[in-house]
Amino acid sequence: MLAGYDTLITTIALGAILAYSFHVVLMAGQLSLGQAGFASLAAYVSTLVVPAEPLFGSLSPVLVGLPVGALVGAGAAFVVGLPVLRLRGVFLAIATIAFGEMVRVAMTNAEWTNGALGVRVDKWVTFDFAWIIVAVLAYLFWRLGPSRVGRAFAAVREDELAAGSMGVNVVRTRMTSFVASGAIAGVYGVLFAYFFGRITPAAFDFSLMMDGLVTAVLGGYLVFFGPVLGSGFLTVVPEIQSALGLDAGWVHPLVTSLLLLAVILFLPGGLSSLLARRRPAPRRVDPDGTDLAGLPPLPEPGTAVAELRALGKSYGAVQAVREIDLEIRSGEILGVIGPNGAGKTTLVNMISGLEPPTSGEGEVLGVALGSNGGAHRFAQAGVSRTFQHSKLFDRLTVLDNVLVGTHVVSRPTYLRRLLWLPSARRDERRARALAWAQLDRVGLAERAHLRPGALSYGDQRRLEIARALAAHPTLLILDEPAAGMNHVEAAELAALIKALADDGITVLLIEHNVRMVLDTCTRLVVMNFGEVIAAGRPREVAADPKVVEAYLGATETGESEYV
Amino acid sequence: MRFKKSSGTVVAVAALFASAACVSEEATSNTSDDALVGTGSGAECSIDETVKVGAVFSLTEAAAFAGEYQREGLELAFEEINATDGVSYELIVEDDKTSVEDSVAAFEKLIDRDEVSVIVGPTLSNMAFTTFPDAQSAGVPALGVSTTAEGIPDIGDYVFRASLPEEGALAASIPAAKEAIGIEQVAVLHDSADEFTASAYNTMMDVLAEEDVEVVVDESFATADTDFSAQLTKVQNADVDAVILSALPGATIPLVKQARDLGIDAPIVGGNAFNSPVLVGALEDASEGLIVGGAWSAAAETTGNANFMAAYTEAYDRAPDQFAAQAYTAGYLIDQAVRADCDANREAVKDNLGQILEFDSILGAISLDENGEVTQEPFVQIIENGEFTILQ
Repeated sequence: MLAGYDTLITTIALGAILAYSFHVVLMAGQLSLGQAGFASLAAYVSTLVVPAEPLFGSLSPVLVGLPVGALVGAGAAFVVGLPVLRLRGVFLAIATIAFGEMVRVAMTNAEWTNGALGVRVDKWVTFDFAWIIVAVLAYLFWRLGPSRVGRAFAAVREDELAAGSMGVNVVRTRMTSFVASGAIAGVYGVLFAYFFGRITPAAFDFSLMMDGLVTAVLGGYLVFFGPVLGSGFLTVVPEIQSALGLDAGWVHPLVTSLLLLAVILFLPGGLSSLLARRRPAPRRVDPDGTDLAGLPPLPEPGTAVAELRALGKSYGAVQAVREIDLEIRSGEILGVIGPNGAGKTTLVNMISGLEPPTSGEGEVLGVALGSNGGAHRFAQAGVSRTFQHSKLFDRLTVLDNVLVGTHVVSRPTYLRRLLWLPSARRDERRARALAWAQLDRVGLAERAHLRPGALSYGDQRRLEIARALAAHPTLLILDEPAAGMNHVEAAELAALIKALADDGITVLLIEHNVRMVLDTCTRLVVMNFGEVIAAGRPREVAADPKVVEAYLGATETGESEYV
Repeated sequence: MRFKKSSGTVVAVAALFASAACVSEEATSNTSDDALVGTGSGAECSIDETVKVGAVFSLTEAAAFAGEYQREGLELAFEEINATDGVSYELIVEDDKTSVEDSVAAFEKLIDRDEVSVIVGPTLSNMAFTTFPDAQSAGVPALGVSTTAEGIPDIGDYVFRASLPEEGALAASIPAAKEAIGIEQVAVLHDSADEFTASAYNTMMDVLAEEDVEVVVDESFATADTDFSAQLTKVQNADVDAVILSALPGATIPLVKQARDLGIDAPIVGGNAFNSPVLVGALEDASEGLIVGGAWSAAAETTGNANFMAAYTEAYDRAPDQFAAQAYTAGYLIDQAVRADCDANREAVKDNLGQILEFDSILGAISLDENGEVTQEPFVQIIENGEFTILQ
């Protein structure tokens, strides 16, 4: 069967496995290109442990090499990841490429690797063996998609800040993808060695990295079978050309490159977007009683939610926020107003853990400001927020955006999904029910299947609120939620905020729509030049001459128009 | 219920797993085809069936500089042979794009789909280490024409090479240089990142030790390096009688030029990789005094060499090099092996390739033994006035 095509078919499998090691980091938005190094290390180490004879008479000895290769790759990725994962984008790419080169040079000059001459081993990998590995990987990635960690990967890819604010541990997620990439690259290295029967340091070079990256991007990294498609395409296209009689040396690469260009230009999501384009609209899941009842109760009204003492933030010589004393109590709607540049956003960035203060101290829901760990710890404690400029996950649907919000109130489901445990399906159903409930609340249920880009500006702001609400927050921070809304939408939003407060959610609202702030808030803080210039009941604050002068402006009679 | 359906899948996957993890020992089954057996023998041999000969060369990418010459040399040989009576050959040439994957795939195609009697190539030893074991286990004779690295014939009894190993070329050029110009102290420079040059380096050091030549400078560089001033400065300060170089053409050209520019005028001795008119052309004046050990020389008065050079130049509009000459010779060796028993089956070709003794070729008298190793007298040449001249 298929005699004479074994190598071709196995090459597709190997290409797909290599591409999966890029797929997993691209899924999490990391341009990490050190896979050739991980594969090389794993391949060489595996030659030390793989026995020369079949196991128990008939089992392929590579079965020993695969876990060893995966461990070596993962271990190397972890060690490399500790320093280089501080970097992002093209800097991460260069650092990881440098690692790959380092391994190549080290292997070339080491004694035990036999230098540039390489190591010869027996060819134990057959095409069915390689395809089983591909099937296992495809299964792992298929089950990853709609799981909690899968959504965390997508969220980190789309927007790290927003992901962190939704409770996703960004550092750990990036490291997980990096280590998984190392493990898969390690498996690839072992299979490569025992399929071709020989490894040299030069086999794991820059061009191998390019092949893997191109295959992963061509296939598409948003869908689990992308690498298989990419690898199949890149392997089969030259073969088809040969079959058609196109034989001139330079025509092959030219035609392949043109097709590649066409795919990248017209299918930015890769080949797999052709197959995944027509998706059914997501099925609605209505929450039953147990879903919402399972959520922890919100604190009693009047409990301290946040306490700031002499909090300050300076950027070099610029003092953005100075000496802020503020207490936020459960159940209130605290409005923060002030001219542009007054330090409002800096203040809420500190409260939500995005920026550490440079002076003073504070505590939000038991988490000290400026403590190590990152924004996700504040989210896990019950702080949830929207952003002045929407930070939605652009390539996820409206529903999936809100699902990311449920991160802090759901349990990890991936491992249980791999085993098809019913409890995983229950947890996923519950997360979807919570998400649908929030979509209903903001009135976006009809648009659940769209991408955020297809929504109006006002709807995008509502979606951000729904996502923040899905985290079941104790303290909800809204940074200019009414910006860009017309007055009808703004009135609806004000009603929604009041309803949230009635449910026991504490709201911190930054807004320029003063009418709405005065109507909605129970307390008002006015900031100017980084300082609080007035605080108290909304109407009283609005009449304060300092506030009128600094922000509100006066009518011709000298009275504030908002009193 | 979905769970039941999926558990069936699990069982199926597990079953597949169990089967794929097993190692099946397939016996080599080589059925001989009577149509490939002819009547008569030697020059009178006549086979009705066209004999299929496969070739895998690097026609594109990094090693294309060699692969194209090889294809042309081999095609020229079979054109000439097909013009004689008795046996006709069909040559199927595959491009391995200088990559291991494509090389393996090309071998598989020739072995299983085209069912060739014998395969010539691949161009690089690097690929041969992966592809020759496949030919060996499939029972297809493979004849390398530029696979000079150590250990190639050891792969198996179906593996042959008609390419003088680097050991042979260097073993000749170093003593010849010693005799001609009296070297006592040398500098050795080699590319440590390439397996061909790394293998040659090992040989050089052995030969130098045998010849009692002192190595006073021993420096290495990487394949893609372009600046060699650090290594060359050491050479310059050491006052050596000769520089022994093991490098690919890409590094040889800048290295030799930089050496001459620095004022190092000691003779530079190299192996097979030097033996190309292209190299001499690219080096221009800097090529003067290069001492080259090789398997073939344009200046050699071997049987048919003048005809070969004339026919090649006429057909392809450029002068042949050693790669072309060795591939050309391979065509005649295969013809010789097929005609010996007038049998073009794989087994017969294998048996008879291993018995070629003192065959009179453009490379001089050439022999292949059962282990697949070639025996021939290397040519040591010096470049004088831009021409290869046999070093006397």
